[in-house]
Amino acid sequence: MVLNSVLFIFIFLPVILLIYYRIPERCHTARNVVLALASLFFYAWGNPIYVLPLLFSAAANYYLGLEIAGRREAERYHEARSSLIFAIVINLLMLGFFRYASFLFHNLSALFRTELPFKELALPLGIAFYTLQAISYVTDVYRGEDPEYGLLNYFVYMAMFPKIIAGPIVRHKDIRQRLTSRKADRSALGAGICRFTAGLFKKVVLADSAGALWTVISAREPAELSALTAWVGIIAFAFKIYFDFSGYTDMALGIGQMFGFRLPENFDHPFRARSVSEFWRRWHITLYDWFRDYVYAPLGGNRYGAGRQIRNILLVWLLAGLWHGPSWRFVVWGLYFGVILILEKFVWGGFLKRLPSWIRRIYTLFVTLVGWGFFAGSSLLYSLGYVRAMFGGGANDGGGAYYLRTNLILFIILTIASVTGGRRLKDRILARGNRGRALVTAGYILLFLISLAYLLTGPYQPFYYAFL
Amino acid sequence: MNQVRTAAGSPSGKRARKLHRHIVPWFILIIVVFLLISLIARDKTYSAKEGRELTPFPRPTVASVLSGEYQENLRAYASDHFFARDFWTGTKTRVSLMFGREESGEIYKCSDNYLIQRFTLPSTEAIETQTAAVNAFAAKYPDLNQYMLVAPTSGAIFADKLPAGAPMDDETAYMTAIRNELAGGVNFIDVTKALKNHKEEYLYYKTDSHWTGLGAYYAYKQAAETMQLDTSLDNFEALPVTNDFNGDLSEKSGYNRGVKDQINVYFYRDSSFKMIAEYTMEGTQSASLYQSAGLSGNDMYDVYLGGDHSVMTIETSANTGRKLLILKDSYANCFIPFLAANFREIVVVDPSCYYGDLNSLIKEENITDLMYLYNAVTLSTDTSLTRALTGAN
Repeated sequence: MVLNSVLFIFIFLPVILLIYYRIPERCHTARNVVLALASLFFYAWGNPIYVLPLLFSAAANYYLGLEIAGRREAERYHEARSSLIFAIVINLLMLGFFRYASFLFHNLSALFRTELPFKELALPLGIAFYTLQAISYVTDVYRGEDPEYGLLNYFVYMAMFPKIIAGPIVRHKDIRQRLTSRKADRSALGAGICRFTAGLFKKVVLADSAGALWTVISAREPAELSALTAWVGIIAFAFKIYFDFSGYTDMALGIGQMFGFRLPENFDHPFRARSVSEFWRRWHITLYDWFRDYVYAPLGGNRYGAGRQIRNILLVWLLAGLWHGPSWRFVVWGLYFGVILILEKFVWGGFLKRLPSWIRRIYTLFVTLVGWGFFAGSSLLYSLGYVRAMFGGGANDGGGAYYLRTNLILFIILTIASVTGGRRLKDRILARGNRGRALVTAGYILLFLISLAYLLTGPYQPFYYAFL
Repeated sequence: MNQVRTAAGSPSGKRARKLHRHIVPWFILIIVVFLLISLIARDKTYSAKEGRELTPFPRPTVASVLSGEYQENLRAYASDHFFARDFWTGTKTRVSLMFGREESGEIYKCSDNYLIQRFTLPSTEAIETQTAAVNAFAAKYPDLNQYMLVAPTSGAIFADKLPAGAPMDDETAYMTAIRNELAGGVNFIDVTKALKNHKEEYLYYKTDSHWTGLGAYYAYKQAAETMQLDTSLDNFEALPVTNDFNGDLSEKSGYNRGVKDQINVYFYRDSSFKMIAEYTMEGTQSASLYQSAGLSGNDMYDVYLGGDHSVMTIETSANTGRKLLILKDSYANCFIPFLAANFREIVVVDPSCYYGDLNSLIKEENITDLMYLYNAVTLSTDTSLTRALTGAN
């Protein structure tokens, strides 16, 4: 099941909330049981068979977590270490097998010029996310955090339905307390509803509208696009992926709030960033933090001199790129940012800081848009062609002006929506007492109804990041 | 809209909490009311507005649940049968128009209330494949008079109505490419100039992808020259059959739902001229090429020939030995009535739903003339003609 569907919003979620709230707050085990069963049902709805890898991953990491903690307690550090390595290997093997096997086989076939036989597997939903989360768990336990002693609680942590499909990637220590006691009252429910509604609107209305423009432009061969068309297209793509992902995150966090959880933020107005380094601290924050803490730091980070740091940055970004999906274009995308970040750190970072903010923002937008040129599209070949078109390598199709003109209002709305959260505006209106509150309530209801219209009538749009 | 944590006791924090508490009953109300109405309302099977069947309530089976197919059908069912679905569809169109879109699904909203669909030039390979099939078939029947008419759509004739800079490929370039590939045995009929000469007239529908009876008539006059038809019998009377036609472009895009087109049908003034239309698949006959039943259906354009049929035969009292086989798309439906006086028999085949044998058809009916009639947009993405011809080669 997905969060942006009529079945979820009108049937599944209300039913689960109803059951959940009937259980008194102190019976947190019962409440967790409800969450666990709901999550199992939610996950099984999409692809029933792939519940098995999820259950296996949960059970394996749970037991390994206890084992690592036990060995650490007993000061058998070497054995704790081997348990950790074993756990990480199992997780990576699972991810590799389900997600990257056919990629590997394709490349081997190309390399050896034969057709290696293999069977294409469907992708278990969320495996890229929950695998990373599991690795963060066992590593944290190894590093001294308390493990999760309850299997039920561990399962809720791993597979809780708001975040199982596409994150955010949650650290166990950030959630451990709330697994056993959390407050879910009417104000939390309402806050969750507001957050969810905003996210729903972002995803099914804003992302959908931007995506429609991207679909039209990307249907053409890159070589036929003028530079203007290519830029208009990639801006549409950037808006689409931003509102799609941040909208979905809002929905996840909103639902989490309804159940009393405070899930971590994934986005912080990334288009306001004044450098590429800053951009990546505002975009998909939990992923960035994960790579920083579980790949970059173990590799040595910046503690062993510039040469090693450069190597580490490139390695991290190669892996981060590859994580996004089994395609060479993601590797190129990752390395592109790795190189840019190295240049920012060692070459022009200081100079950059002395420039006025607006220039820095334009620079950041330019760099990230070119980056999206590598990311978008269906293959490396397409992406290279597209980026070439962005720099004038395509034809002169005369359509760019048309696309820009007819989407200007949309772009303005999208820019405003991405750059401010409307939070200050909301506060100002709310300060006017009951009238203000009624206005804001009406506003959320309107957003919900418009979202409903788009939801019912648009083509079924699964969440982009989950299917890369 | 990222939530920065506000201090819980601060005034804005307090106000936010009040809002959150306040909003809950509203949403509960909305969810419950919408759900109840949707559950109670009886299921419809067909959406006139969207022109498609609505998903019926799926029955679960072990196989379909395990594969996820049941869940997908249930999702589609819930979406299709949500109450007031047409209202929501309309809302979405209105909102997207507010965003400034002038195009939906490759259909442009143009001036003078016209909707025009986009034409994309197909690849050279596609053009060559298609014409190769036509040429190969032509080579088999060197004795037949063969013609190909690729009709321009409103995008070519009314190009000035398009939004400025709207991407639209050149249909005449397409026609030229086809003409160059065609073998000498097939005569290419170009009606573009003839139509452009009358471009101030009502040649195409505002809300539909087809040309009007008038547009087809001017095209016919041009074709008559190439086909060496006797136009002395052409004395037609135009009869309007509806002023309420809202066509396929409007339906697909959601634009201009309130704009109405007029449909005219054309009769020979000479009432001694008789025709019988026989619908082979359906096993029915009619004395008229126009079916008024089409006017009460979902697509009023079906009044012409009763819509598209895999094969139908028209026999006339024309004083000639010529017999025509026409392979066509729906553009021909309002064109064929003009041909009637020049052929003893017209066999009408729609390759997109015809799976018979063209060779035996030609032999049995003693066909003397073979014509292809397609509009540029449909032909540019069509594969059924090639299939039907190569299957018969």
